[in-house]
Amino acid sequence: MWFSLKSKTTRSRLEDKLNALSKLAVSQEQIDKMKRTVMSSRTEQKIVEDFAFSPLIKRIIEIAQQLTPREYFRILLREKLVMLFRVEHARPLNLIDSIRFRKTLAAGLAFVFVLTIVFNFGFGIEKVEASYTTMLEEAIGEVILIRDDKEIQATTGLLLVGDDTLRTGANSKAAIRFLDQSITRLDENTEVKISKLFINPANKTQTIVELVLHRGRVWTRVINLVDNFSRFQVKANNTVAIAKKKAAFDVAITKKNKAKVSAVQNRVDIMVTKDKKISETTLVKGFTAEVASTGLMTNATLQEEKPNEGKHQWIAQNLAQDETYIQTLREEIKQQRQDNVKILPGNPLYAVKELSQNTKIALAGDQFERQKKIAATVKAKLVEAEVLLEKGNVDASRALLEEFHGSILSIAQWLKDREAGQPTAILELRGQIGEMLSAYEKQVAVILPTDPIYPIKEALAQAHVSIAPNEAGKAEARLAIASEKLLEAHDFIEKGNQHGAVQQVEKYKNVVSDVISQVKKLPSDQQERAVTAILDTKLQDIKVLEAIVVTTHTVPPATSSPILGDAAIPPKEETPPIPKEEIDTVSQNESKDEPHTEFSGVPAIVKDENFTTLGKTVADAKAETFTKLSEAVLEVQKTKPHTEVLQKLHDLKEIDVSGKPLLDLKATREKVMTKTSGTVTSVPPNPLPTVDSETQVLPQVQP
Amino acid sequence: MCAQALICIMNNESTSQMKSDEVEKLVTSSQRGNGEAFGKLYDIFVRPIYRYVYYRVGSREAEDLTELIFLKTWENIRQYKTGKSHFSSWIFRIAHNVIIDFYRSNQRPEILSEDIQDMRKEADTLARAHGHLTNETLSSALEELKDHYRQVIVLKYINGFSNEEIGVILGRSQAALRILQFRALKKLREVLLGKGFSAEDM
Repeated sequence: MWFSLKSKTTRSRLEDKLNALSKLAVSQEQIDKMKRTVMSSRTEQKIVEDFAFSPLIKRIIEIAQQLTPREYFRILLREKLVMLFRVEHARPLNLIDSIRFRKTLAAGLAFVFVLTIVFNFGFGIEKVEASYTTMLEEAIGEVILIRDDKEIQATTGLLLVGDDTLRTGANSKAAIRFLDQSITRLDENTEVKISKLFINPANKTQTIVELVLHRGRVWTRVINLVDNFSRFQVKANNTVAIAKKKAAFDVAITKKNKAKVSAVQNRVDIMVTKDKKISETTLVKGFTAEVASTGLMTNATLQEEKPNEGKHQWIAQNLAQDETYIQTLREEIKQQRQDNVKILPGNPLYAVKELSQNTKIALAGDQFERQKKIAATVKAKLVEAEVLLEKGNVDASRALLEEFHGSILSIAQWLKDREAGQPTAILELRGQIGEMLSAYEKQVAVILPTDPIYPIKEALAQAHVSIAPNEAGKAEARLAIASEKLLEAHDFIEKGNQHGAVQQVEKYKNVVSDVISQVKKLPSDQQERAVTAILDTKLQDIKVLEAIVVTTHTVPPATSSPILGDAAIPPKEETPPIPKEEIDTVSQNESKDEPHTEFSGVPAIVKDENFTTLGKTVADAKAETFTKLSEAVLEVQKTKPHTEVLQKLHDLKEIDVSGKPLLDLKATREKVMTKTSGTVTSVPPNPLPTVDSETQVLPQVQP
Repeated sequence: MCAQALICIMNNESTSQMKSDEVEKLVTSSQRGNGEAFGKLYDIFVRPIYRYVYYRVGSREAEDLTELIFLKTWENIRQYKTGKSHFSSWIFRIAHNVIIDFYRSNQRPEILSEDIQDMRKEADTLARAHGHLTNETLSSALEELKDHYRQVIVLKYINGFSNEEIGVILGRSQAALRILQFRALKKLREVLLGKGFSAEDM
């Protein structure tokens, strides 16, 4: 039983009770002992209470004292309360007070009115994001939609969903615009099924689109799949053509029921199923593959379309239409920006717009929601910068870009500070912010360095580096920047800007070299991840480099030729065979009698000086990439063998381009050797005095 | 009023400031329509009120309910009678009632997606790994207590009220409050031990 002995009443009650015991022949000594026991228990209880819990209480107080409401919230609520207080409690005692009261009320109402306008027009946050619908962009002639076994006449603007089948009749065409902004055009007498339309709900920039071609021919232009997960694939019989990032390719089912895939721009991967096995190759620009039902693949160069054959020139027309489509997309996005961003820095209402944005942040639910809103506001600044750049206001846009960069760094620091305490929540928030940036990147993927809004693209890419959680993540983000440089180089070539292409390849080389050099400085637990990321990226970059290499072997036309950007193929020249002693013993499959050329069927000739420079730049980029890559792999292998790294190296070795192996590679813990395009690279170099350090006889290497 | 005294009040949120004569003067001034005085009252009480709400209902509703409490204070400030009790007890009584109303109107449990990870467990694990009590862990542990245990811990140890004042706020006798405090602390310690914290950690 517990009772308080502080109370005088209670103490006297205790005394009375104890004194009553004397009537029971209990001695005074015993009564005093009982009293002492009771008092001692109470004291002990207090001691227990005070001391046993004291550290816990102290800790609770310490923690609670650190908890404060957010500044935004605190300040805004104060302003609101004071304003309400003044309006409510002002009492007009005489005419003067009446005027003051009315002025106060008018000012308050005006403030509320302005805020209402601001909120209603949604200043600050870009509302229109990328469209995620798939629709029939064009329908000419007889175009039938088959959905749930029902056939209907399809018209332009019809929304399409998964499992829809489209069929074109004679002299008919159709074009489908997909949720990832790719476009597919159906030739006449073609039937295609949309078998997959997938958006990752956790990251809407990750998409997969799959078509199944039943008969006929389809052309596809993929323009801005921003990450390595996204892809566009077309199945025809036992063949799947897969495009990532950017590509233009054609898939047809021939009269002999063969699947024919042609890579017209960049490159496309092909997977062929044969006897329950899958073989893979990559078609770079200018190559075509025909796959029989048996799985036998025949590779060849893309033949020139002859004007007399067929009623139209399929490839040339589609290339031209693609240019129009890309331009239309850019204009749509540009118009959306200008429609949504009405108030820019310099406008008197810009301060109100910023207040509105800050209010939205202040009214966010929890701290994570607040950071998301801050990131959205920061992204809105980037949109403003883009609009300013379009208008030619470079100085104002530069200020906004710096603000964007600073804010991203602040967000990154906030994430880093809380990562240890709430890793799951921080990871999720990082992903959401990354997705927001990627969605914007998707819209500017077609922008090249010559475009006025190119700084926006660079700012977004740099933002990914800033919010990466660790050095390995930053390395991955920088590698993505490097890969984008290569794609830009490819785009420059398509537009005939060789100088631009050379610059971008140089930048690619420099970024990759920097990243790989940094690998040595990473903690060992992050090294493997970084090298794996490098190897993954190289798998894709090498293919793009090869696509660029192919282009360097053509020259601007003197006579017109409709394919491959009207590039004529110059006559083939003889190249001296590589001396036998330099033949790589690592590569066992090559014939020693066959001269080394870049690609079979593609002349190893460069006539134009610009192309010579580009070709040399690309060759240097490849060589340096492999050297640096080998160094990175050796660095990682020093500590312990990393099976995933070795597997990735093996995958590199398996790259098949247009039916021929791209490179050969041998790796041990002490040495990595690569051979590509007739050049052998060894890291560390084998110090043989009689041969050049880069080109040497390779000893038999034991794995 | 001396500006420095006000700054001192605003910067130091101990109970003594909340009960100081300066606060009573600000209240009287506010009742006469002085908005700035009300703003200063807000500056003194916003952090203690926010902490009270935070540890009673959690972070998600803390700001909303804090705003509601001050709006109700603004609405009813003329009903406060100086001398009857401290203004701090009065405003926390409002806070207590707002929270009770919130509990009543939010009785339906939220259906959680299976995909949502219980961040408290993550926070608990890491806090245990680091061997010290954090805000998230404390908040999580308090949530596991019965509401009357929780409110007495928050008022007594986080907001620093005396039992007399807590008695006014909660409408309980001081004797009952002493027992309640002891049991609340004991239960809190049991919860923390159950989460893997050692006596040394606390």
